[in-house]
Amino acid sequence: MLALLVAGLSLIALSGLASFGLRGRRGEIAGATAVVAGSLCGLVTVIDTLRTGIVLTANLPWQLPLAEVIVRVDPLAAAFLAPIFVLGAVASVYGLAYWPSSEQRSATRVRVFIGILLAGMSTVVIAAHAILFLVAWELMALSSFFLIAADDSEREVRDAAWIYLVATHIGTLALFAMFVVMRDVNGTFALGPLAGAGALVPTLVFLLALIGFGFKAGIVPLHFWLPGAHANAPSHVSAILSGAMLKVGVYGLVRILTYLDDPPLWWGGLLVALGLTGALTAITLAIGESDMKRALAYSSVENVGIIVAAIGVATFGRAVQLPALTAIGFAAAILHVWNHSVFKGLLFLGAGSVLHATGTRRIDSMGGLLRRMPVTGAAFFAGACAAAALPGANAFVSEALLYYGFFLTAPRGSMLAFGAAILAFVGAIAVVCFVRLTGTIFLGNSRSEQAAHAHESPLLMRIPMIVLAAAVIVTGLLPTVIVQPLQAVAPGALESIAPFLGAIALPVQLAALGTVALFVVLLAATRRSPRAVTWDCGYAAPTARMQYTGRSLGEWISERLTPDFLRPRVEAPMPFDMFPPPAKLSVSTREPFSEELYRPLVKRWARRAMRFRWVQQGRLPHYLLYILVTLVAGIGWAVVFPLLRAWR
Amino acid sequence: MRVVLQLLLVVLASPLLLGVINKTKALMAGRVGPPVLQSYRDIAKLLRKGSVISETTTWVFLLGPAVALVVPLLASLMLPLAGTEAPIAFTGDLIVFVYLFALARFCTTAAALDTGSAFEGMGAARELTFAALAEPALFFGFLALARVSGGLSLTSFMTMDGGHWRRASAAMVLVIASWFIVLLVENSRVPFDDPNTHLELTMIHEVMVLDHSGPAFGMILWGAAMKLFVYGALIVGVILPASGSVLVDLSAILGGVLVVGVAIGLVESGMARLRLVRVPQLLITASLVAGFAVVLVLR
Repeated sequence: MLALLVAGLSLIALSGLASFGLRGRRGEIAGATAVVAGSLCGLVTVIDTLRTGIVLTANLPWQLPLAEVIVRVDPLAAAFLAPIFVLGAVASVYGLAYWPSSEQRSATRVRVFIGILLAGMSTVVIAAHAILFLVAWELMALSSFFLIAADDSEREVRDAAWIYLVATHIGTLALFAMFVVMRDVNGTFALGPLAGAGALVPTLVFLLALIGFGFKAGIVPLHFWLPGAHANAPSHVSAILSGAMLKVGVYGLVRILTYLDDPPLWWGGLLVALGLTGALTAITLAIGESDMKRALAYSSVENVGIIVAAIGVATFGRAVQLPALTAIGFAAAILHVWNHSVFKGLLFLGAGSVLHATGTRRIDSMGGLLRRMPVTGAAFFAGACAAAALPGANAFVSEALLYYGFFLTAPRGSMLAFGAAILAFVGAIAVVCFVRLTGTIFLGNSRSEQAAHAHESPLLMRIPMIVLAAAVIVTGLLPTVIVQPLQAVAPGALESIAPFLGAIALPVQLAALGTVALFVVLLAATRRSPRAVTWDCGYAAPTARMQYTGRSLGEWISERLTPDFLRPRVEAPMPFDMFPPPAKLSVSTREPFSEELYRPLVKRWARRAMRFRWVQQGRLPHYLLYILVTLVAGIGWAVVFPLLRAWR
Repeated sequence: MRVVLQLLLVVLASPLLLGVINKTKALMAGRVGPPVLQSYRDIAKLLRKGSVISETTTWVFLLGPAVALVVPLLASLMLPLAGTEAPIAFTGDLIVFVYLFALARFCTTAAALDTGSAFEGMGAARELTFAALAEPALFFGFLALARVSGGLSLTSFMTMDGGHWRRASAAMVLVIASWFIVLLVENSRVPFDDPNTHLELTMIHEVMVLDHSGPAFGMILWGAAMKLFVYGALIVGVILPASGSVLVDLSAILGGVLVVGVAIGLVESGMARLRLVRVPQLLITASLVAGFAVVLVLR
C-alpha cells in the first residue's frame, strides 16, 4: 500500500514533465491524466488506511547528515491526504479548460508546479522526520509561490506573491526553532511524542507550532498574506491553496498537539478564543469585499478559525479528561477540514468559471449569471449553502458537531459554552456573506456588458464542479457515511458522534424532501403564469443599475456595526458648490492587519536594517567569500565542537 | 398519532394567531377590525389564484416560498407540543432547529434578490442583518436553559417540571424577555417592522415578497404564520411546566400561544416602529440580557 502511495506521488510530482515530451494539447492531457491516476493511487491507500487503521512506516537511508527518510501513513495523515488528492485531481482536470497553453503563457509552468506542490504537500503529511518535513515544507512553499505568481505581468499579483513568500518563511523560522527544541528533548530529529519534558518545554513547542503553522493555516492575525495570494492565483490553483494547503498548516498543529501529553487547560481556551475571534473578524472582512475571490479567501480564514476552535475543544477535552468531548472536538475539526476542502474548492472553481465568462472579479459588475450559466450557478449555490453551514450541505454536519461540543460543556458550567453563541453569530454573518455573493453574482439583472454576454463554461470545467457539488450534498444529506472513516482518525467517535449524526440526518432529509416536493408543486402551478417586469412600485423604467448592490447588501455589517479598524475605506466627496462637480464614490477594501498593523512595524524595522546595507553590495567575489566563511565556520562547528567536548 | 395532532395544531391554528393579533390591535384602536378568521380566507384565496412572475427570476424565486413553508412545519416537529416528547427529539436538536430557520432565511432572501428589485434587496439586507444580531440571544438562552434543565434538547427545555422557576427564576425571566424580542424581530413585528405598512421603503419582510403572488404568496403567508406560532410555542413551552397529558398540554400550548398573540398585539398598539439605527442596539441589548442569564446560572 505504501508503495502504491509512493508511486502515485512520483506520478503526480513528474506529471508536469509530460508537457516537455508531448507538445501542445496532448501534453496537457497526459499531465492531467497523470495527476488523476496518481491521485487515485493515493486515494486507494488513504481509504485503506482509514478503513483498517493500519499504520504504514518506511525508513530509507538518506545521504544527508542527521537526516533519514522516514515516512509514516497513519489515519491522521490519511485524513489530511484525502483533500490533497481529491482537489489535485479535480483542479487538474479543470485546469485543462481554464488555463490551457493556447491561452495562457504560464500554462506549462503552472502544471509543473501544481504537480510539485501536490507531491510536496503529501510528503509533509507523511513525513516522520523533521528534516524531511522541512524539505517538503519548503518545496510546498516555493512551488506555491510560483503558482501564485503565475500571472506575473500584473503588479498586484507580484506583490501578493512576495508577501506570501515572506510570510511563509517567517512561519518556517518558527518551525526551525520548534524542531530544534523538540530534538533537544528527544535527542533525535525523528518525530515522536515529547518525552518527559517538564512544563515549560511543551508550552514552548506548542506556541512555536501555533505561530509556525498558524502562518500557513491563516490563523488571524497571521492570515494577512492569504486574501491577496488566494485571490490572485489562477482559480484552480486557489482551489488547491484554500482546499488543501491551508489544511497542511492545520495538520502540523494537530500533529504536534498529539505529541504533547497532558495539555493544560489554557491551551484549549487559547485555541477556541483565537479560532472564534478570528472567524468573526474574517467573515466580517469578507462582507466588505467587492472582489469575489478575496471574499472567498476571507471565508477560508473564517473556516480555519472554526477548525482551530474545534481543535481547541478537543484539547480542552484532553485537559479535563473527557474522552467524549475530545472525540467530538477532534471529529468536528477533521470533518470540517474535509468539508471545507470540498465546498471551498467548489466555490473557487465556480468563481473561476465566472471570471472566465465575465473577465472580472468585481461582484458589483455582475448579476443575472444564473440564467446564462445554469450549471455553474447551481453548483455555486450548493457551495454557498455549505459555506453558510446550512442543513443539507456538508459543512452543517461538522459545525453542528462543534456546537454539540460547546453545548456539552454547558451543564458543567464551563465558560467555553459561550463559544456556541459566538459561533452562532459567525454562522449568521456567514449567511449574510454568501447570500450577498450568490445574489450579487448570479441573481437579478446583469450590471455590465460582460455579465450580460457571459457564457457557460466548457464541459471540462463543469464536470469538476458537478462532482464537488454532489459531494457537498451527499455528505449533507447522509452524514452517517463519514462516521466510519472518522472512527479511524478520532477514536471514540463511533460512540459519541454516530448517534448524533444519525439523529440530525432525519430532519435534514425531511426538509430536503418536503422542499423538493413543494417546489415541484409550485413549479407546476406557475408553469403557465404570465411573465412581467419586476414590480418596482409603479416606476416605469427600472434599470439594472438600480438594483441593490453587493456593497449595500453588506453595508449594515461591514460599515455600520463593525469597529473602524475593519471597515472598508469609503471616499465620497460631497458635490457641494454653486455648480456642483460630478459626484464620486470610491470604496477600497484592504487587509487591515497588514496595512495598519504590520506595514508600519516593518517600515520602522526596515529603516534600522538599512545600517547593515553594506553587507549586500552585489559583487560576486564578496558573496563567494561569504559562502566560504560560512562553510568553514560550519565545518569548524561540526568538527571542533565534538573534539572539544571529547577532550574535556 | 401525536405527530398528526401536532402537525394539525400548527397547520390549522397558526392563521388564527394572526387573526388574534389583528383583533387585539383593532380593539385597542377602537375599531371593529377584520374577523378573527380572516387569515384563513386570505390564504385560501391566494392558493386558488393565478400568479404573475417577473421575467428576471429563475428557479431560486420559487425555492424561497417552498422552503419558507417546509421549515416552520419541520421545526414544529422538534417541539413537544403534545405530551412529553417531540416527534423529533435528540440531544442537540436545537442546533438543527436554529439552522433550519437559517436555511429558510438564505432561500427567502435569495428569492428576493432574484427579482433584481432595489426594494426587495433592501428588505433582504435588513432581514439578514437583524437575524444575525438576534442569533446570539437565542443561543445564550439555549445555554442558560441547558444549564437549568440539565438536558440538551428542546424537549428537555420545554418539559421542565416547574422547579426551574424556583431554582433560577431571575435567569428564566431574562431569557424569556430576550426571546420575546427575538420573536418580534424574527417574525418582522413592531418595533422592528410593521406588517401593515404599505410604504415599501420601511418594510422588511413584506417588501421581500413584493413580487410573489398567488400560491407562492399564500405559502409565504402561511409559512410566516407557522413560524410565529413555532416561536410562540417555544416560549410558552419554556414558561409552562409540562403536565404529561396530551390534551392538557396541547390546549395549554394553544392557549399560551394565543396569549403571546395578544401580547404582540398590545406591543404593536402601544409603540411605533423603531428608527432603523436603533434596531441593532435593541438586538444587542437582547443578547446581553440573555448572556447575563447564562452568567447567572453558570455561577
